[in-house]
Amino acid sequence: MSDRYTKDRKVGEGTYAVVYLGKQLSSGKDVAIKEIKTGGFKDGLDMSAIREVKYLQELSHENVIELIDVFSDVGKNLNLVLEFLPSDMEVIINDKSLVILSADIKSWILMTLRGVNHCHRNGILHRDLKPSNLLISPTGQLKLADFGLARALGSPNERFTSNVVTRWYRAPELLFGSHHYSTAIDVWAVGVIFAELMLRTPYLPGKDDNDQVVVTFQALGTPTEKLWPGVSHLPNYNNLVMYPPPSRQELRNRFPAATEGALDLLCGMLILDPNNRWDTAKCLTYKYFVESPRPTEPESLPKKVP
Amino acid sequence: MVELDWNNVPKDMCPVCKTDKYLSPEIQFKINPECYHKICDSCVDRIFSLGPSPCPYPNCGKILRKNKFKTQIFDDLEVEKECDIRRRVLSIYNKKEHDFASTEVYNKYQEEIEDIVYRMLYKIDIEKTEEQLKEYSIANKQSIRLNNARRDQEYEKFIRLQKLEKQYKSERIRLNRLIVQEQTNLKSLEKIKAMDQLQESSEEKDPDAVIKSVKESMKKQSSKYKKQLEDLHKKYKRQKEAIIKNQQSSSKKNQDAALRVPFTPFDGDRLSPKPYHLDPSKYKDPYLEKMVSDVQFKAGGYKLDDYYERSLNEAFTGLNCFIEEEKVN
Repeated sequence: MSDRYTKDRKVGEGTYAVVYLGKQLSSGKDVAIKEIKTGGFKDGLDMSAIREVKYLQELSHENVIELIDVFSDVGKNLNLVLEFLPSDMEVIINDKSLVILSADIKSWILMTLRGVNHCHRNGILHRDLKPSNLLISPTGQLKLADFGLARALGSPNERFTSNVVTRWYRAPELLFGSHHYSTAIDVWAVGVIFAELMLRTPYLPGKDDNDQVVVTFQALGTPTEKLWPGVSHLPNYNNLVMYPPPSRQELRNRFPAATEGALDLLCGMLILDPNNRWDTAKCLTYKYFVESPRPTEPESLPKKVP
Repeated sequence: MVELDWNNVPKDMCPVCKTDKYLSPEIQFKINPECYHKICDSCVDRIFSLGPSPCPYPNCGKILRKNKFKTQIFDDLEVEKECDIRRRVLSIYNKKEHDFASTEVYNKYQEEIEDIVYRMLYKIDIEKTEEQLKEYSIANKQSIRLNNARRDQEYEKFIRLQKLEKQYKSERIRLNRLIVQEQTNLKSLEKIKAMDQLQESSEEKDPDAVIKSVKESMKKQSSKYKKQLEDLHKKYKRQKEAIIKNQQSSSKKNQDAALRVPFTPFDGDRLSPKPYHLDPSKYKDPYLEKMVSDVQFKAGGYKLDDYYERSLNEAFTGLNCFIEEEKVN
């Protein structure tokens, strides 16, 4: 291994990996090295690591984290060499000293949608979109990261688990326990992130899985058979309190800074029925992105001053 | 013994412990914006250290907290009160002139602010006014936050400018002093030197020429410092401009770039040609289609075509890639 990369210092630790900051010796570039813990797993490698390698090597896009290399070292540990990205959206949203303009939000959502569109175009579901997984490069480019839950679109006789995506960003079909969902779940997550950027506080913060259902439908209305054909046949569709869908004026009050175009896009991404929910192509071609103000150039987006 | 008149407490005396400025000159008075009653520092410590307590003035009864006590800035309590109210109102009504379409609207806005301050100060319609303030703060939550953040940034900029100016001034004074000192030093030195030279020089050297050369070398020395001073001035101007421009530059740059490049929603990620062509009308899989027609699939948003796409993609990805060749390159 170490003839090509150095491991300088530990920057983070997750359940299945330790992340180091290192350098690629051939180019002198900073890289993040994700060392997969193999010791504890009797059944071989952790699933997330396999997924991460499998799907990242298929993708190459400005707004998706780059998998530079994979190697195993003496201890038979698997190491993923990834682009080093020092910041993420969660940090930016929570740093109240930063002023976020509507043009900045537009730019971030645009980059997120481009990244997600690239995944979907290649038949890959990310399944864990949330602000802390949207990393920011030193030049301001936003990149999707953490493909540990990603998977390819499967054949109809595969049953997907509905226990994916961090709770606050979980689409209604997942809340109802559907086993056959599609790219629409990622669009929903982007919609919730969009709302969070405008509010600068989580939009649908459910305390537990049941509360998430309540919070989601309080904000966006309870789906009915009329709004979403077939919804009542989904596994967890029972004992629901019926909330009316929000009126346009209520949404305007909730998002006072949003323009009509921004609200349209937000509503499009948060349509309850996944069959009607906008796909990434429709979102990207929507007039919100061409109307004034123009999205901020990535280099001039607000970032945390170290 | 004379009873203390609580409504008219002597100026330099704490009515609680009866200490006055004459006996303890270091006494400090604090007030609390709840009721603006004056209490000395040690009494505040004594009474409020254990948590909120009622104001010791009779017939006041307001519950006060220690962390809200502050030093009085203005002699006149009315002025103090007004400043506090004004600060509070202005942190909510914080729009600037350029946020308005016309000066008239802006003037009306200012009038509204003055009305609120006046009513709060003289406790006229206090509940209605508070309500109005609250309503405004909810309706304009985001713009208030934005404007406050802007004001903070502006203030920070101001502080940075001030610091820079201070630094510049002290450096300039230092250099100026050096110049003067060097000049006096040189003068006395040159005097001695000139005398020596005049003494030693024989008839072949013209005394005028000697004095001239001495003067020249003197000038050279001091001009070195002068140049440093000029450089310093230039540097200061440059830094000052950089700080002032700081905020505008980013937005301006952005506009320029936007004008040059037309907007492309997919940033070139849509048109890459696929190595295959799927005609959905010709490909039918009755087994899968029957399966997908189930309500569970429909309601979950499952799309069979996406799966076909993915499968074809998987099948064709990697064709036409020659890893050995890529490695060589």
